[in-house]
Amino acid sequence: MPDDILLSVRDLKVYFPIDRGVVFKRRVGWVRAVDGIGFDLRKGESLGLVGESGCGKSTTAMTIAQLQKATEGQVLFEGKDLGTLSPAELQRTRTGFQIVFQDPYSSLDPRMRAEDIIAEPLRIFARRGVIAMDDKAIRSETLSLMERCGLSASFAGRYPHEFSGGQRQRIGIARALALRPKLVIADEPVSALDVSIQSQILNLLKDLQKEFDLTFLFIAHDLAVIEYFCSRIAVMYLGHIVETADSATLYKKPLHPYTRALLSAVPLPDPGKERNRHRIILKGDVPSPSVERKSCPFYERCPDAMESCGREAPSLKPAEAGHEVSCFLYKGA
Amino acid sequence: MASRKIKLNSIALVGIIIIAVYVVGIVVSLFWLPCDPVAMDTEHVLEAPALSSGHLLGTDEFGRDILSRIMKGALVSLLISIAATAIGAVLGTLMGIWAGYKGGRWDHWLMRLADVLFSFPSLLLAIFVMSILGEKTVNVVIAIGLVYIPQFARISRGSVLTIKSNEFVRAAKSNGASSGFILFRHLLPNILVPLIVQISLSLSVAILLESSLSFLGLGVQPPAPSWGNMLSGARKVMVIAPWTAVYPGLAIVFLVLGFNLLGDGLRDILDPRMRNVG
Amino acid sequence: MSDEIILRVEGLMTQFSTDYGLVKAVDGVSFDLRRGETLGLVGESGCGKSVTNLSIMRLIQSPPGKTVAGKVLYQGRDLLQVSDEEVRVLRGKNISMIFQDPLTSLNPVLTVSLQIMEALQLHHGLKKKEAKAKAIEMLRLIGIPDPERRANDYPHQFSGGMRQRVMIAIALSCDPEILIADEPTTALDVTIQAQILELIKDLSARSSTSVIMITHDLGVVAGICDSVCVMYAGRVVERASVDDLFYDPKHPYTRGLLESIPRLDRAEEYGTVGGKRLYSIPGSPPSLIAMPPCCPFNSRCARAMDICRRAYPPETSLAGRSPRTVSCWLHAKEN
Repeated sequence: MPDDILLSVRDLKVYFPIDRGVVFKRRVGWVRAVDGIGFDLRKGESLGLVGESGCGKSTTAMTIAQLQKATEGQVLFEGKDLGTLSPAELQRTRTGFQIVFQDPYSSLDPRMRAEDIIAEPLRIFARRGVIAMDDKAIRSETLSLMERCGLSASFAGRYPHEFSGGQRQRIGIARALALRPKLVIADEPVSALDVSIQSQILNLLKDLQKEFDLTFLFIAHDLAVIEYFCSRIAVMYLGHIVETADSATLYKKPLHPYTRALLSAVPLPDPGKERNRHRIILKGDVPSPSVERKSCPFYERCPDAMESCGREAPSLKPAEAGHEVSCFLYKGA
Repeated sequence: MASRKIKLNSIALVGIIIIAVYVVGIVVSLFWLPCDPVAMDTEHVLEAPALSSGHLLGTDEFGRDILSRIMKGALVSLLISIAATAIGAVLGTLMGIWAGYKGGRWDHWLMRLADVLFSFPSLLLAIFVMSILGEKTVNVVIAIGLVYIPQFARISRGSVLTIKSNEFVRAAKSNGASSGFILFRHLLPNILVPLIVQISLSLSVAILLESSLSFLGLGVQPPAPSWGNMLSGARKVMVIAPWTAVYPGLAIVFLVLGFNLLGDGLRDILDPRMRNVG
Repeated sequence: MSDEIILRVEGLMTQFSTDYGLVKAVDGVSFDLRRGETLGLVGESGCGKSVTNLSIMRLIQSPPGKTVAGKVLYQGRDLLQVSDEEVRVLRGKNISMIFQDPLTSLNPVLTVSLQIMEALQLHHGLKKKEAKAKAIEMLRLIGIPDPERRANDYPHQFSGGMRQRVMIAIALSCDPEILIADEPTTALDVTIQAQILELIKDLSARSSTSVIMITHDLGVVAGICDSVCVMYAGRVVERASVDDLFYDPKHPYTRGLLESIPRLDRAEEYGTVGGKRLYSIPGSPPSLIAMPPCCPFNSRCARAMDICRRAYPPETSLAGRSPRTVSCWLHAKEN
């Protein structure tokens, strides 16, 4: 594997069992949350995973972060298959990738002070001997991280309920950076924040990316946020990646019918444009991910569906350089 | 947590005061009692309460001083209910935490076991256990403790499930924390609140259970005094000497009330802490 | 949209007494609503938009909250002064509300048709058969496929988007004059949101229903509203037609907001594509307890002046084709 690929996901499948029964349970089916996806993430890139609820983006993030077991497939971090590591090796590898969570209200332990929350990862690994830092060093590193994330060091002794949502998110970001990871998995980091705070946090993340030389896997449902932050975007639908492209290309030349519908549905803060907007309104709702289907996952709602789409599923193939799409409308798929 | 000022509301305060009165009485009873609680005095049988006679609350059907017996019985009742609640709380909480944290088959079967235990009326279950184990005092503790296990299991499991769904648990895992670390550093402190409330309420029910058991002759055996067996003995003479039933009864009522008020008050104080304003 | 004003809110003030102090959730809100108009109440969390709305409908829980001042004039009466009985008659019949979370706003143990029928039977006195027929018709109107069969389904058998449509059906079944929609699409996916907003637009145009749309999403406002009130810390800081607000915003908060949201239509200038950075309004929204009597935005305002820290700016009317006001010392005139 080439040197500059930090993360590689290959044919990842995550299925959740559906069990029925009160005393004795039987398996009646599977929820196919992630149904065979793959991508490469290069050092320094920020890849956005975007899609609506149920598309599998959060499950993908949690599986890559090793907080959820994959049913099939591989997650390779710096060339190592994370699924084959022993628990001790996995713990050590965790210093290389960290997570920023969505909900500023539940991602911090309400009974811990801010500095303890940020210092916890350092303390855990210092105790194991993986990093060489004593209490004093940990404390000063924690305070410097706080300042770097826009929080005054004087707040170190405060509890989460004394901070605002945006400030809590900053604590979460400082915690994620404590171990100086190479990869940051950001799971909807601004979705739960007020509009006027979102741009603060996005700009902070951008600055930190430069300063700490970070690679990002950025999950969101808001296309505009992803467009702003990420250099490359993968669009997900029902557990599949349907299109991957550079941000600029995706916006200017969306190929997959779902991507086009998604882009047309996003409301723009411009009344004139909104009035003249031609929206592609999809019919119906997102189908259930527990039904096994041989067809293209988007078949039932696709405005451009052809007969062949109902018979077999397309796979992700390049339509042009750096732009892949999973759709029979395009040659090569 | 320590820096937060705790507003003791009046409900909890009344509860604490009541319990404090009993504790004082018990401590005193260790060093001094108005009379010997088991000394029978056939000349002063069923005497009405009177300051002059030295029997403040009267005597029972054997001439024994009721006040001393109540004080002596308090120690027994309180000790039994604390011990039983402790057993139930520790075993039940461990069971519930394990079920909640592990999930899957552990959760499923542990909770079915709890359901089975739970479906027996508590008094019947306690009687059943006593009848197998025998009538020693320590068995009362075991019986009542057993009754409590499913309750604590359910509460701690529910709390663990709620806390587990918080993202800070996932964050700890991604920071390299082991399961044990997460259980003790993150889960346990956060489930303490409903547990404390439940412990307080359980103490009150334990007292009732113990009294019921000894009333039925299954708990503390006479002549050792226990509020329950005092009531049992008073049954025959209640009509002519109501004080033999009323005072032990009131002793039970007020202690139970005290624990209930404390539990309710604690619930009010500890719960709204999390609520955000504005 | 006609010029007839059907709802007028004047100086509304609602406060909550909490353990931490008095929260002035709504601190002097005024606006008019015309027949057929869709008015947007826009602001971030804590700005008071939802509380304003609940105050209009007298749905504020009375301890700890209380509407302490103001008038809500509708059909010649002040809704804040009339009896509980009169308000109850109006709710659902003349003024309907739909909420953000359709899961908890629908009764899980009643079928969908029963819930629609309840409103019809209550307010229009329809008999069971007629109500059932109208309920099925409404389901068809809002785009539920196979309405006769789905009428007997329970809320949990519908998806989030469908449930929201059912809420809209219930709200519009009695032909209300005013529909108050409190963040109706916030919890929905963007493709479903597009469907729901279209539906609200169509249905309200069809029967000239006025809509008060509460949201924090400026894109939604641009797409569906005729006029907008921007709220901050319990007050209306700017009121204007939707074109005026987006193309010529006056209040620094409005301008800050518009410059700080990521926009797909400006993707080429900003971010990883164009390189330009989004503007950020510094600081955070204020706590609503013990607010000093000055402009609530002054600590975050790039153009704050000395007077902004000393006194609250008056509501100034600005010239233009449509009525517009702004509460800002930069635009205050000598009155």
